[in-house]
Amino acid sequence: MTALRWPVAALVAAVALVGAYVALGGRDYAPAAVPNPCQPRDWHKVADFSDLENEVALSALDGAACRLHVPQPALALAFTSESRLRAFARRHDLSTPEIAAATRAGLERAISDGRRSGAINELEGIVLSAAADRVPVDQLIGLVRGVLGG
Amino acid sequence: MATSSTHTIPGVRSLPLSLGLAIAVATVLADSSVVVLALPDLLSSFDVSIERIAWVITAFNLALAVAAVPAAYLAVRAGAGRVAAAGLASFAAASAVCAAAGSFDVLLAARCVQAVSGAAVVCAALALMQEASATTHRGATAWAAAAAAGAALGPAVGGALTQAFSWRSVFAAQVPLALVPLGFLLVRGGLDGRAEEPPARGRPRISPNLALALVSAALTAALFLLVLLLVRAWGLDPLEAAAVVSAIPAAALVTARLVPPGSLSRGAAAAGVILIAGGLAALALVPSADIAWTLAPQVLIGCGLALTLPALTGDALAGRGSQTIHGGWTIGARHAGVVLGLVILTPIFTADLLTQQDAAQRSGTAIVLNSALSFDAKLRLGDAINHQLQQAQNRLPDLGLAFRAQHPSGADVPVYRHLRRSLSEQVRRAATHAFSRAFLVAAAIALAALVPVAAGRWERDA
Repeated sequence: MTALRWPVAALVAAVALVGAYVALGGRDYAPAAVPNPCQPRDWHKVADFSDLENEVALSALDGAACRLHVPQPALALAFTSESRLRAFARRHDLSTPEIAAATRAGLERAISDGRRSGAINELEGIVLSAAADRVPVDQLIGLVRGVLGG
Repeated sequence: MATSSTHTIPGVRSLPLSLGLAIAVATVLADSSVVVLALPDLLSSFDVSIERIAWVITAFNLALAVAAVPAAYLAVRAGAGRVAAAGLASFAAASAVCAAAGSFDVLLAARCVQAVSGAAVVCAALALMQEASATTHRGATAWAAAAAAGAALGPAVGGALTQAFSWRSVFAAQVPLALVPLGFLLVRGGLDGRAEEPPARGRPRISPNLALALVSAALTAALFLLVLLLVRAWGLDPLEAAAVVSAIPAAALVTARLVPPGSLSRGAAAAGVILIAGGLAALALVPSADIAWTLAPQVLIGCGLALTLPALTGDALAGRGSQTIHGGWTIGARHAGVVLGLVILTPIFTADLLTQQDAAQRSGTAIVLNSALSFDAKLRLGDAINHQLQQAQNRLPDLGLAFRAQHPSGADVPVYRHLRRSLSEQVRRAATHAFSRAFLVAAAIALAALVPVAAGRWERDA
């Protein structure tokens, strides 16, 4: 029994310290989790074109990320340069048509979010949806890359 | 405890010589980790990859592990005094070459010579320190204590020297530490000693040596990863990091003073292993990137180190046959453990570092995208941050530069300030989290040492 005195005391000290660190949030001290892109996005108040551009881009990114099952920031970073987009496609085993389809779906989602928030009216929504359907794939990706600074 | 067959070397009963040898033993074993804080400096001095620069540490430990047992046999057959003298002279010369190395290959080769000479010094010193002490047990205890102190002090001393002077001073400082005991040995006629009688046949004690290897592998995380966490992830300079990690040797020193060496048996060894595992697990779970959170885990690790290393070393030396040879096995096991630790933990840490860089970039991007800035401002800021991330190259990015490049109008100033704080926090979280899995794996390795501690036949308990 005496032989166990040392290990038991050590175990108590070790468990107390580890337990205290877990209780103080040690397990959660990691980069913040990114929001689920498939959750509906509530638009902020749109006062001018810049606000509209902002909300459309974020909703479109959410929609595309949701379709591709990737985090929204990863897709945003991919769109910042052509080489990053290629690397992103390789990493997630995606073809250009798949990315284009997701980008179209993202734009549809943005238009739908905009309509729901009242920032885009019915007529604007129909025109924008038609445009999103007809823009060629490479131009569509180029447009999104342009908006995101690529 | 087996009796030593070492013959008295004339004049070796000298306190300065004994002290000098203890310092030489501590210096050799500190060398296993002494350049950890100098690695960034070494990287700047030589045009080599990060993976290659780590060989300054790996090569030393590998060479020491391989050379320890042959060096011990040599000390027994050729005489401990002669082997110690040759080892000390060669170690001093190799240290001088390391300090003056003009190319990475020269440095690496000199590190290997340092390790082989160091193995000779450490193994021969065991026999000489036992001769210098009133009892062989006391000599062995002093030798084990010097070895433990060297291992614990290595990163702190190396960091302080690197910051005060340069990485070259880490090696230059070792030259006199080897030459002084060599001088004592020559003056006191230590070379005249005879070789030991052919040692009685005795195999190395597997359990304590296996436990020592596992504990040393786990301690790699405390001595290497903790230093990297402080310097690379939390941005401390080497001197500050050295001050922080000195909590481990300080705790070890206090524990060694409080716990009488006679009480260090299987229970103490097991307790030490549990404390080391607990400290490492706590380092994996720090609640924030603040040095204060590393102190309690370091105290646990220091206490564990003071209980475990001398107890296991004492048991490993207690086998039949020459203690010098058992000492060689012990040193070999410890440094094989360090190499094992580096081999297991380095890939885990480097893989997690990349994963966490990705995670930080994603959470940072989400924060910027969802901020209250205008879209143009977000893009400008995103570009600037991206540029800093590319410039960082395995260092913490200086987000301040990205923010200083922006010129916010009055209303946006608090938004930028909040963003800067949030992004810096994400970077620190990611950098800290990158070390978590490696610390947890190290804790598991430490706990694995309980198996040989519990299963082995314990000489002192018998």
